[in-house]
Amino acid sequence: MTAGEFGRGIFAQNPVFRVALGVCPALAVTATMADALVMSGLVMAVLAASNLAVSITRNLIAQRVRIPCQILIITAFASMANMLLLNRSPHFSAALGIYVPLIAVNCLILNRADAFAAKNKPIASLLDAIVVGIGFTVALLACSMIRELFGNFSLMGQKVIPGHQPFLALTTACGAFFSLAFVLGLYNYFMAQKGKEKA
Amino acid sequence: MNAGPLLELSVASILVNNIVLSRCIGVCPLCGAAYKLPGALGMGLSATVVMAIASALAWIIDHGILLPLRAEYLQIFVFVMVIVSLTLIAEMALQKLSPALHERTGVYLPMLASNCVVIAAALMAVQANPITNRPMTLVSAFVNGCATGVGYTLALVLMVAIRERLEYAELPRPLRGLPAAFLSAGLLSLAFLGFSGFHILKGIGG
Repeated sequence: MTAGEFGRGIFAQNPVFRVALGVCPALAVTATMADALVMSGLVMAVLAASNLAVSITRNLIAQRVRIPCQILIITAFASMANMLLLNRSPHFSAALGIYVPLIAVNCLILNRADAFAAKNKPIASLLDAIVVGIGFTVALLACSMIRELFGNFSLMGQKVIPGHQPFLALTTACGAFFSLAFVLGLYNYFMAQKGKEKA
Repeated sequence: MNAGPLLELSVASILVNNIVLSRCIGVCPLCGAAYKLPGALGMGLSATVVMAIASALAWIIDHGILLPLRAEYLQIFVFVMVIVSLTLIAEMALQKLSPALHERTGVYLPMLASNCVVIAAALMAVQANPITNRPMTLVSAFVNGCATGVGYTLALVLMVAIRERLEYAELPRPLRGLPAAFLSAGLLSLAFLGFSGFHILKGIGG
């Protein structure tokens, strides 16, 4: 995989921006950057593990029961992620709440399992998971940066603009929708600009 | 059990803690844009039925099997399996019993298998009741499943109706499609925030 393909996977083919896969976590846990980082780490780990497992077992599983089997593989890894987080960091486990078990049915992971890992060799699937995972992390960080900066006037928990009342609404669900819409709009704008330069 | 707390729970699940607009679960299908209004209603109603059954089943399995065996860590795994098989069985049963209904709602059932709203409903059924802060009872789990489904249907229908209108709107080019959908979801979510009496804001700001 070349550097160009790597960059394309993260920006031009970004799963969240391009096809709105896996937007639930991108909306729900981006109130602070720390939450977003932990969530993307978990999603990336589950994605890598399940892509690898699906790819290794791809010739053993019959076509007809392919999708239920993939769901079960992903669920197993998501359960592990949930238990690990509960054990290692009860604080983040409480903060991320129901969204950690919901990694089990994250459409992004299911999409990569069925669209890529089920048709490709293990190493390629692992690389795909890493690229998609980084793209997902970038999307989550972009959203959470906006939300934390304006919703709490802080970055990574550090106050940036002290002594003022921040826009609290940004930390709630509507702020999540607005900031994702804003990030998506910017993304579309820059992608269109880039397309014009080439043409 | 009297009806007051149950009513309160339903209102909370439909409006205050709307699964899509204030918990951001089940947003993916809204972005698909594949739905028209009748389709959205069909999808929402099938989801409601499946969520109600899944919530009750999840509660029964959790309290009957997993808790006595101290195997709570299997919750996610078992719920996912139950829901995948539930949707498959529901589809087959519907095909045999009522082909006409199957024609209209059958296509949505397989999609529900991996939909986060159903799993979320099942997981909520085994958590604490948000109204009383005590573990759910079977009845409240069932009611919560129904109400969450109704809330999902409400959000889905509203969003689809808005998107149908937006198709004819003159929007700036980068905002067309998904960003516009998220913006309108944000506005809806802001409107739904009114139901909470803004105690969410007080909690975070304090």
